[in-house]
Amino acid sequence: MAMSLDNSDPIESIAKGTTEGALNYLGMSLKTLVDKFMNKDLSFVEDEEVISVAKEQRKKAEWDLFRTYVKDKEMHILFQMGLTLRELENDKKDFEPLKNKIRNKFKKRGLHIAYFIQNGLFGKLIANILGRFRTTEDIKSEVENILNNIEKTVTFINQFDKEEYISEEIITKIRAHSPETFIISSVGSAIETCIKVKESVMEIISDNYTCEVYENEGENKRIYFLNRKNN
Amino acid sequence: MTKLISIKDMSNDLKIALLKELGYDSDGIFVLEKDGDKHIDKYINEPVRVDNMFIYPGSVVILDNNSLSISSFLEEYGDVFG
Repeated sequence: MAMSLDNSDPIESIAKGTTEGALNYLGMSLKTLVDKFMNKDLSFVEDEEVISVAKEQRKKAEWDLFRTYVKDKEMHILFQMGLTLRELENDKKDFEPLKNKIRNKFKKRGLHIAYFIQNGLFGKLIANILGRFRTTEDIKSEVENILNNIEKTVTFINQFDKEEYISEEIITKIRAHSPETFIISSVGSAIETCIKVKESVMEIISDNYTCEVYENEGENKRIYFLNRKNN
Repeated sequence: MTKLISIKDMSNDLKIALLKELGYDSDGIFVLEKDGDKHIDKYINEPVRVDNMFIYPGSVVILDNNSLSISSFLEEYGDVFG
């Protein structure tokens, strides 16, 4: 017996209605959604919060300041990642997945740059070098130099680091590259080691470098800026 | 400015129908190109899941909805959402 295919079949009508109903969203049919999308009226995202956070970072004064001194687009993205990591950390959210993505794309160096930003070192660096460099172009050069050569210009101390090993490593880097600025950064339980490292290093290099300290008890941070003397 | 809408509450069927209208496909989990290969997020080089998409018009950009991809997108395309 032939199946009835006309629209009077109640089961087919219900199925068709269900399918059509499922292809509607926020009162718009699939066709309308596609038309609006093609007209560039709409874009779609699973979770708006990711975009909200990204937009907020781009409104910050720290971002405007960074863009003044650094033009490289990859650095811009790493800067944004640093700010996002900071926000996730402050909100006590899991930031390991983002760190992994950063490391996969930009390798260890990129992750260190993001970490540099996350820990607020950019603003403190600007404060440190503003009085030492004459022109804006000189400041730009120094900022770019530090970020592009972060493995040679910045050390992040962690609580498990051995003071003698890290001190030796820093002294070697300074002797090899003679940077204008070398930064030793620590947080929390690493501060004690950081202080000892600074003392050991300065014992060796004080003829050529001065030391400026930034300390924030509220944030439990200690950062040393080793500045080359230019005689 | 393009208006951004969340598709968190959109059914998987509708998401897949939408992808097909845009020239893509899906195996139910990942976004697929027409040839059946997984569509790769160009900023993180990973496949894009249907349950975590960001889709932008123009040349139809489909990305994974994560901070690195979104920030990379905004850096390339500008502050398109105001």
